[in-house]
Amino acid sequence: MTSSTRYDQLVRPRHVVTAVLVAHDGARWLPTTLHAVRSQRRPIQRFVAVDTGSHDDTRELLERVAGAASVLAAPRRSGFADAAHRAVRAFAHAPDLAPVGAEPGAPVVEWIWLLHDDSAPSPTALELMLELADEMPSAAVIGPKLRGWDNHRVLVEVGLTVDRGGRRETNLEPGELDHGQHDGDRDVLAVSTAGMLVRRDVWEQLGGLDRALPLFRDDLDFGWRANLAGHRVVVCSRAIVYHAEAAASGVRRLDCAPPHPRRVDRQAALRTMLVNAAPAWLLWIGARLLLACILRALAFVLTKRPVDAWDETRAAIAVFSRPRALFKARAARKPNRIVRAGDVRRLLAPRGSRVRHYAESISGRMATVGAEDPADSRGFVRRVVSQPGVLLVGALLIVALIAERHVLSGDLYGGALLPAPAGASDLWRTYTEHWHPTGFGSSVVAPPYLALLAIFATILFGSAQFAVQVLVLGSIPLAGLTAYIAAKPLAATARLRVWLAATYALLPVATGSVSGGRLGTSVVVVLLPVVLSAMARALLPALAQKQGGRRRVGAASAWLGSLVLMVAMAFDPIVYALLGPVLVGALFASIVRRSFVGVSRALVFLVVPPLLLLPWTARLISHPALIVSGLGQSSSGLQAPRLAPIDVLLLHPGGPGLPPVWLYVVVVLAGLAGLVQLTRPGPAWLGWALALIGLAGGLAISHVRVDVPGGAIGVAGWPGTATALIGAGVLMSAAVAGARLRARLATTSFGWRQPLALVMAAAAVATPVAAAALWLAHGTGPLLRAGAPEILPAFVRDPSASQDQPRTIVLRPPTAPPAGTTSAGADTVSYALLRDHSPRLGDADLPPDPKHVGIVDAAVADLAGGFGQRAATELAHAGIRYVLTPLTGDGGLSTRLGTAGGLLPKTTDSGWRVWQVQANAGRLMIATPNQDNWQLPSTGGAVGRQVEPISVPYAPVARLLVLAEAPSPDWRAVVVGAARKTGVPLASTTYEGMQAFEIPTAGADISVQRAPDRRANWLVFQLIGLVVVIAAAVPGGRRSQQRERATDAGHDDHSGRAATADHTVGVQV
Amino acid sequence: MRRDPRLLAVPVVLIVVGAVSWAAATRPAAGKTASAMSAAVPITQSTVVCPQAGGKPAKGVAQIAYANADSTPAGASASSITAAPLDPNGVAAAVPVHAGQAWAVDGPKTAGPIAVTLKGPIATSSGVVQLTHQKVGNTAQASAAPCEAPVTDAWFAGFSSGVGQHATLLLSNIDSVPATVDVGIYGDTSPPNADADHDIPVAPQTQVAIQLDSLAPGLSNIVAHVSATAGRIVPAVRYDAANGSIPLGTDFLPRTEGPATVQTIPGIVGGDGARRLVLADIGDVDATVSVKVIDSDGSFTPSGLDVVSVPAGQVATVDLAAVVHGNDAAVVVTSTQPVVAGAVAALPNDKAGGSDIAFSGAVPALTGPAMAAAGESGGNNHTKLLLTAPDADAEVRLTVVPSASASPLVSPLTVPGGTTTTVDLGSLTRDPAPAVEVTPVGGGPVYAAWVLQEASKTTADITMFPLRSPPQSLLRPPVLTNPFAGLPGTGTATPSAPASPPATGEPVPSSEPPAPDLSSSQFPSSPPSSSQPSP
Repeated sequence: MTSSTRYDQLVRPRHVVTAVLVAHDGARWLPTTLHAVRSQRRPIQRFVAVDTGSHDDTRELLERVAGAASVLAAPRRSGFADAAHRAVRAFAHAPDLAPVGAEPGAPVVEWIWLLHDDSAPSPTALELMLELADEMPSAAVIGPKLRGWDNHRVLVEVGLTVDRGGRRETNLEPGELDHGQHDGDRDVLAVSTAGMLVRRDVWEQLGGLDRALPLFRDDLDFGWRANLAGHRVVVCSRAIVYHAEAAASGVRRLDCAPPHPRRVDRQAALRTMLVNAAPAWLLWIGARLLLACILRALAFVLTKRPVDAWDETRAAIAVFSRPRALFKARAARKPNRIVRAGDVRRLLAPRGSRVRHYAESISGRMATVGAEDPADSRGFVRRVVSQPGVLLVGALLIVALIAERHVLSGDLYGGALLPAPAGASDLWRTYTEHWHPTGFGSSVVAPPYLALLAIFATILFGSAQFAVQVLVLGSIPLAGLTAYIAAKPLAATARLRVWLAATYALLPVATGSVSGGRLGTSVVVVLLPVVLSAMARALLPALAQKQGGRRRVGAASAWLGSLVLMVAMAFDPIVYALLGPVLVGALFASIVRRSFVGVSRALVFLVVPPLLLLPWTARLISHPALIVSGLGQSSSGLQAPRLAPIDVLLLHPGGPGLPPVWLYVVVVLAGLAGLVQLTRPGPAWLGWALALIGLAGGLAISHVRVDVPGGAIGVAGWPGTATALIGAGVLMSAAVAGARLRARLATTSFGWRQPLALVMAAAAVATPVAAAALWLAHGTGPLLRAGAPEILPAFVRDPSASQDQPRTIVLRPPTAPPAGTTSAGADTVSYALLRDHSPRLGDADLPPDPKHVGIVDAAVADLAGGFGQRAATELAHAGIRYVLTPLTGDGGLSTRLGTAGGLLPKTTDSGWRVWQVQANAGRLMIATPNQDNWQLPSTGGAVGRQVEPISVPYAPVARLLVLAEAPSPDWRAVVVGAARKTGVPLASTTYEGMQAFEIPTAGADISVQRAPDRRANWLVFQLIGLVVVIAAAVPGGRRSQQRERATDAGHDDHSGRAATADHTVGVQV
Repeated sequence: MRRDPRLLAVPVVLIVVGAVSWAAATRPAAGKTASAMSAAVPITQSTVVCPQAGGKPAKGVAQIAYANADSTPAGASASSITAAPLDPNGVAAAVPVHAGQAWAVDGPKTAGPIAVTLKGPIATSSGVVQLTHQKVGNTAQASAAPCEAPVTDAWFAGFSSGVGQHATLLLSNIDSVPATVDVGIYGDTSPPNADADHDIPVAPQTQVAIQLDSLAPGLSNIVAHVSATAGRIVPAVRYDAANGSIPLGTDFLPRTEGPATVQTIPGIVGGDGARRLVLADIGDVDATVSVKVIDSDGSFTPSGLDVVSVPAGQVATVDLAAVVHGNDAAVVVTSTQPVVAGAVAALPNDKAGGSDIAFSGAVPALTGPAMAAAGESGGNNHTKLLLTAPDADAEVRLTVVPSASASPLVSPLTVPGGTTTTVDLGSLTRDPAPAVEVTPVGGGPVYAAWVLQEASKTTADITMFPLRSPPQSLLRPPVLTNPFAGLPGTGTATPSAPASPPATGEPVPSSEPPAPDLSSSQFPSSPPSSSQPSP
């Protein structure tokens, strides 16, 4: 009305437009918005503003522009729909405005243009929308293209729709820039109320916005209703409105609804779906939404967002508990529902759009790892590929694949690595069973790395072999990845960060553990950067603050770190022993500083790993040799017999697959250089603290000689993990030197320092390159193999051919140890005792009963020494029926065995000569002690629940049923069958060091089993503990962060900039 | 005033240097534990087979001669000997044990294999020899064969299969499981037949006789290979040749060593008659052989014998009579390809045209006491030892065990390096039936052959065998259970050098593949850590 003078130039003259602007504490945006409304090329004819009880000078601003008469007041709590209704009502009875400039008698179309106080239309917005209305007379609701307030290039909305779960869907990526890719006028389900142009008659027909939706989903609901009523809802991408989304981004406080935006949003979403859904599908959609609510609430509980979970629950209760309100709303909508639901459904978001959205957001987040420039306009793939981290890991992967070219196909074994079983289920079984059918049989606690490996293998579609391949062969690229991520706070430049990561990933311990098949060390090398970085974040609050609080800091970090430390400890317990002093130091420091948080976090690190690994931890404590020897401890000859201490300092743990000792000397020197920097020496000090602890540990490990239970005797420890810790520490320190390198070269007056620094820098850069080149040249060495490691001949494995469950011994005559390694003794005959399969991963870590080993040792020594008959008897009594000797290079062993007698050469099979022990041998034997008579049971003879019991006939002598296993009270022999004494356990005894049972004279059908122990209880305990720790380690809710930001925003006028980037789907005004 | 933070580097460097140098100073030796030593366990039982003992005097008789070097009564009382016919139903008979004596026991009335079981200390201090006087034509010719323990592989060299010449392979199985035997024949004029007879079953506790001459008739020099593919056997080859009723010789062939590029054959006995070296190249490549003769004067390679060609798969002979000139000697054969070697000695024809033949074979150097029973001395009978030290001087100890109750006579002897020394037992003792034990004491390797020569007015007999040291103890190696032992390629490299002998005063047969000459052996039950090495 103030601009009536401009009616002469009015374009689109047959239209009458009333702008309705709703403002709430909008003084920050109103000047711009009002100016934009006034600058429309096609002016509005009427302007009504509603101020919902603003506390700032919103009302004054509105009145100054539109006049007091056009500004309505509404209560502070009224929602947008309320306010809009109030405005439309206000001019309902005002005299109709004649379309000025139109031909008399021409039909007049009256429009309502809804605007927010933070939505500024571009000058042509209205004109273009009306142009569309002329082109498309059936368009009853027209929406503009929304773009960002601060960054005009960012797309905010181009039409709206809703998916099957009730979530609002814009089909845009967060922060997507407008290149016109979404342009084109098209039918949509709904358009935003910011800039929505509604034909007034349609508004009246549909009853306007739903007042029961105070804040969210009112636009969706309205659009949906318009569509159902047969009106077209069209987005006009030519028309542009800049929208700040002040409420959605949390910049503006909400007063129209309870202070729980999530609850209000969910409630609105549920209501929108339920009141607009087709009647036929109502029940199905309702059930589905209810289930989704429950699941989502559970997920929030698990991710430690109880408030969100409560909001979710409250929203569901609020909607579902008032069916009457829903049906009332549906009844109100029914008269206008004239279009078939199926015609509208095509406007809904397609199925799976949510999944796609998550996938895109995850990949987008990954793409921004390290990407500092959000305005980078390169393509997604190019952006990812050109990341320094991605390039580094890719290069390491290529190097690893080439160096490991000989061991890429087939099962991986050799060195300290036994071949993995076929499937994850085998690993699970080994971990969970209470007695392990290894060659000897073992009742010790299964090492927990088997369970962790089983988890990993289960993720990898159940392939245990692939899991081992990934962990061993992929350890170097993976170590590069973790080191690159962990090095971020250390390295000022990407180049330095890449150098740190590459140098760490190619440490001698990394290539050495691949060559030696040291699965445990490989995993630890990968995890160590994660553990150290988590420890730094949790225990060094000062460091965390310097990072600007952008990373997860605090308790969750401590729990996550302890979880990773637990995994590392399970794979190589020495890592806990090495990091223990660091943690104890942090604990004492926290006590001194009286920091309760610090104490508790240090305690989490110290206590959680050993506690979660119970009862295996108890075994570690009772057998400290395991800490030194690590996994696969039965194999000796993998390390240098007398490692020089200087080697440990130079990160050279000894053994196969290592570069020359001097290669990493430059890295250690660079670490020292970091120590003499004046600026920011903290990381250098920390690094050297780690390095010194690693050095002490490494020297100690290479000093001791341990006898591993059931395995090697007098083996030297391998200081691999210790050198990894030294390497990590030295590199931390070197990072400090590297960061100062440029400054040092540039500033100081020229002297001896620049050339020295330059030479050292060049040598340091060359070190990982040389390590990679050497690794490529030498490959993985002679120990690690790939192939089919089954050695038992088929007739030995075949259960039908060997129903007596006999065992097999594989004899390995004395071998000259490989150069540079040691073995227990040059004349030692080593042997493997096998049941029905070749040794598998984990068997080496399940040591047998030493007495049982002693019995078999004596028999094998007799056999190898030439005491043929005697050895044959001993072997038979131990349940051993077959002996395998190598066909070639057996040092005269076959001749000796043949000459000594007691064994019959049976056949040759894939490189092995198979001998059969002359005496009867089976797992169960009937012995008559007085007559020294051993017989195989005539029926069956197997042990276990699933097999037939053995039948022993009457005999008038005292007999024993001898089970060729180490004696244990857990072995049970029970009379079964139709006899009267069914279920009676037989008296347990021992005979010749084996478990035995007294057979009743009358004979019986006897079933022999192993009774379960308390293993199951421990597993439950472990599972509960693991779930609790994982729950604690999951990062806390984003919700609280959003609140923090909202609070910050009150003090920060520029925070709106972040708002558009953090466009949150589903919470939007 | 704040201290310079760079000063922290000083204690860090000091700590590093201190820790590393402390560790270097106290570096432990490469770990090798006591349990990683082989334990030598004395053999306390052995079973040997005399292939054809007993018989009636009319057809020739075979005695079993025993000799026990252990003169302590305690050793005798702790020992026992039983002799049983090799028959599933054979009844074992006890044989008296004499301390420090040599004695002979007649066999049963019908000739056949006898299994002799020695228990206690006598298992390593005795020797058992079967001495046969077999009627050939009008005379009984002597042939001595050591009674031996089961083996799985054996070679015999030097017999022939012409007209009137017979070689019988006697395969004895003392075990309770059947044995299966293959026989290969290599001749001088025929293509090799490595599988002349195969899968010969030898039932438990029985003996099987194979006529080797019928397997490959018409050959004048044969090398036979006997190998058990299953079980163990005691093989023996008896050879006899006659021209009508005129004996041309009879003897048991001693086992000779399997194919090797260096073979040492002691016992090229002196005197007149034919001396022949038999060489067989069983491989696919022709061998070039150099023959070195070692006699009392020294060692030399006769002209023409430095390059002797042996065709692949065939047998070649070398006439030694022309080069040894009637001296006692030994022969060392060095070849480009593994060869099997044996030696034949024939006495000059007597007036009736009769002769006798004796065989020697390649043996390893003596590693411990080697006892030769069945000696005869006095009159025209001579028992001689031909001792050869091919390399350095060798110290040996001769223990002459008397047939009567008297102390054994111990005499040390030095065999000069590169020579052969002959000892006639008659020069040491007047005992009519002395046994002799040769024990290497020190110095270089020493080889020995035992020769018995009988003579009457009309005939002359010779029999001999090279000495082998039976194992005194077995090496029980340390063992280690290792799940990786069976995996191909893991922990394997080249086969190691033979285990070194335990540090004891006397050498024990440890550096050879143990127990080729031994049957089932028992030892007192004791864990390896507490067992003592053999004395």
